[in-house]
Amino acid sequence: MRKFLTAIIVLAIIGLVVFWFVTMPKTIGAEALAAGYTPDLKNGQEMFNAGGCAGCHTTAGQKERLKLGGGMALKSPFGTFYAPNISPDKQNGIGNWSELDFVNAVQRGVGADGQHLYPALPYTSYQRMHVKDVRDMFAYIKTLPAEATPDKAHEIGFPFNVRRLLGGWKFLYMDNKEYAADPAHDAEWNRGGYLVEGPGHCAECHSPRDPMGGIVTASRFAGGKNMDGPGWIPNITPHADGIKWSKDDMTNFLETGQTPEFDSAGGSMAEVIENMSRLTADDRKAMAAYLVTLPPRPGKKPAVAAKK
Amino acid sequence: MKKFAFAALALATLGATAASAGPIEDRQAIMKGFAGPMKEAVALSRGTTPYTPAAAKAAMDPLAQHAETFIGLFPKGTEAGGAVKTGAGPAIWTDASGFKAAGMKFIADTKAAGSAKDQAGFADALKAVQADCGACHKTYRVTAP
Repeated sequence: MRKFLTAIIVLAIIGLVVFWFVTMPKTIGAEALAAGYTPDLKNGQEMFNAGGCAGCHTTAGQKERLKLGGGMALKSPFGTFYAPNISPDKQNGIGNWSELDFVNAVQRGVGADGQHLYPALPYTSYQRMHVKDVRDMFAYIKTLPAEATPDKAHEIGFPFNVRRLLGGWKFLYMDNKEYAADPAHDAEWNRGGYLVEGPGHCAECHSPRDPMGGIVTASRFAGGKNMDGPGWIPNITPHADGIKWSKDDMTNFLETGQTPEFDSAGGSMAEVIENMSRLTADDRKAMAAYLVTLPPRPGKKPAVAAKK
Repeated sequence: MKKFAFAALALATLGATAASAGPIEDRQAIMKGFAGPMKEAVALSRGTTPYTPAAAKAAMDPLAQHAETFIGLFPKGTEAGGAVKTGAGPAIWTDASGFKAAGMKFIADTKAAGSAKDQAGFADALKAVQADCGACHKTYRVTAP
């Protein structure tokens, strides 16, 4: 009996140590920031638009998309998240952040204070970005107006309010890898793949999530329940359940929001189009090239949409 | 052009027959009917159909005309959650003046496009119309019904 108790205690200690290490916020080191870097503001703007930053971080209750005071509510089964102020304001924004702070927030989901950030910020996609693009994005955001709006605390219940647990979540759903180009495809397709999987974070809404809020890999891009409101997010793979659009159809959609059936995107997709329509025509074409070659996957809107 | 005439006819018929259904069905029929003229308009703007001012006007007129009917088809009691499925957003009722203004802007922009002088002017004007589609759907349509 004694032996058994000792075993339990030893196991518990090992468990705690493992838990401690697994859940520890992991960050990118300063060595990742290449020396001799000069910011490219134009590229920063392109990344800002591709990343859809304005979609959530625009100061709530006004229409200027470059005022990044935050405050927009993002509902989820875990509670309500409020997008923080990411304007260059020193008091309430990210005016005092270092470049490395920003890179770690965006690509590792670790805030400037060293705490885990919630994956309402799609860092599972942003981890795929090139560090240089994130630095350019930071440089661009620094040129935008400072907004004084203070952050609103998230309304998250136990146990989700224990941020340390997010370390375990990241262990399950994050691999900290940059986008790897596929040599079997041309440069345009790979640029599109980078934009879709990285900054564009298309899969974050267009995929079903498991009960812990992680993307179901086998059904990536095959649509799923809308986390932030009523309805269903469509399957965008070229499957019978999804969309069989041509590259031109897709390019045109990203620019105008108009589907080949001449419907026009609504709700949060209309917001996405506002960002996509600001990209260069080449980048939209590249995204389309990649999107139309997604692996076809089943995923249908249920006949009776879940009411919630 | 034949296809377009057919679409216009279908739209007119829809408009006439839909009158007997409820406002939700009516407004959905109008929106679906927009697809035909819109398709024609995009073809004109790209030159896949040879551009003529008359064709542009013929594509834009039904949009302006039916949009006017459309914005009047949102009486109280036709919000989402009732027996008939609708993607109409709550903002249509909480921000009725904004909704009407968005509709009026669409009507003005379709009229402007319908009186464009040449293909390039029409293509630009049509972009404004498409932006109106998106802007209005963003705020006032929550999901596709």
